[in-house]
Amino acid sequence: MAKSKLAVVRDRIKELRRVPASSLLPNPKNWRTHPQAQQDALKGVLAEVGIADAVLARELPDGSLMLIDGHLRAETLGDGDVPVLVLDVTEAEADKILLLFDPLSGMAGTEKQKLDELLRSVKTSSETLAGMLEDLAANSGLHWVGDERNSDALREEEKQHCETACPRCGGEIEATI
Amino acid sequence: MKLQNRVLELRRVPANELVANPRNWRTHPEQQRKAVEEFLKDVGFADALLARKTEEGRLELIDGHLRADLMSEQTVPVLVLDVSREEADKLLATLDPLTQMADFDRTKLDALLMEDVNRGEALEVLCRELADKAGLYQEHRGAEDSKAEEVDVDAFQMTHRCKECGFEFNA
Repeated sequence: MAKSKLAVVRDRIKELRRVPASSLLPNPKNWRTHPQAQQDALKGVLAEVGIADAVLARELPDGSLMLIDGHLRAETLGDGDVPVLVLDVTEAEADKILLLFDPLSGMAGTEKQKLDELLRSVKTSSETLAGMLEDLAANSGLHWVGDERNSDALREEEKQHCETACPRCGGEIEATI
Repeated sequence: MKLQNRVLELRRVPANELVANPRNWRTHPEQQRKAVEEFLKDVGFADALLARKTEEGRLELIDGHLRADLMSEQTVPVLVLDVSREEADKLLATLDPLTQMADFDRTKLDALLMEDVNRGEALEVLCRELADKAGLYQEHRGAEDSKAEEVDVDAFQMTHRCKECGFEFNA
């Protein structure tokens, strides 16, 4: 199949700035919510690699910055500084970015062999991140072996956890039937 | 939470000078290419690609392979990261899966879906799938789309509920 190439595309990034994360205004239209497991997995990556991407924001008439992408990172970093790409976009365009960014990246497929090779080189000591990578491997019929903790202890821990805690947030559960 | 900042700078570089990451595991179906193209034509570049500087001084992509490919004749914005190959691998493995762990607020999603009705064909398909997954119907699109069927809620009764987040599941 012929791959199409795009003609000139507008660059909407004005600048890269570093600001205290707590100074960024959350977007009232943000439709993503962040389960505990995602919060923990992000903390795992942040602790092991650091801040390796910028959040996206647009400047309001009063000079403040309103988030478009990166709400969870901003919330997690609190008073720490975060790199921000300031975009020159209208509110309507910001809404399109807000709506479409995550779903667009979710349309990608997986090349199993490359994922397998990559996962072999990735190690983590974060429990939640390990869980996420195990799920990622399992979804492609693979097995991830990079958890740096003792696997027997881990299996026992997981078994007990599943029977007594919410699989999404780890909270206390009750029977409904 | 104070953390190490790994973002060195924002740079504009010709897309064809970026080196594809040989360990990139994402593939890009035609439907995604079309949707990203439509988005780029409509809004433009609203995010930077991520790359690391290799030992030879070249920029190796971590995120943004599809955009680099679509824009190969152009200059693209890149955030240059100061990370090792091992760290880049960890980012490559975790960036997309982390994003996909997010949940959604149905009311807010509905409001955003209703806002823009002049999308390109591929983005329209994506939005319809999004609405379907969230159990939403975009009623302004015409009668054939708005026939919301009555759902028997009891048929979906779960056996357990979390007291904290309200998540219901079968155990």
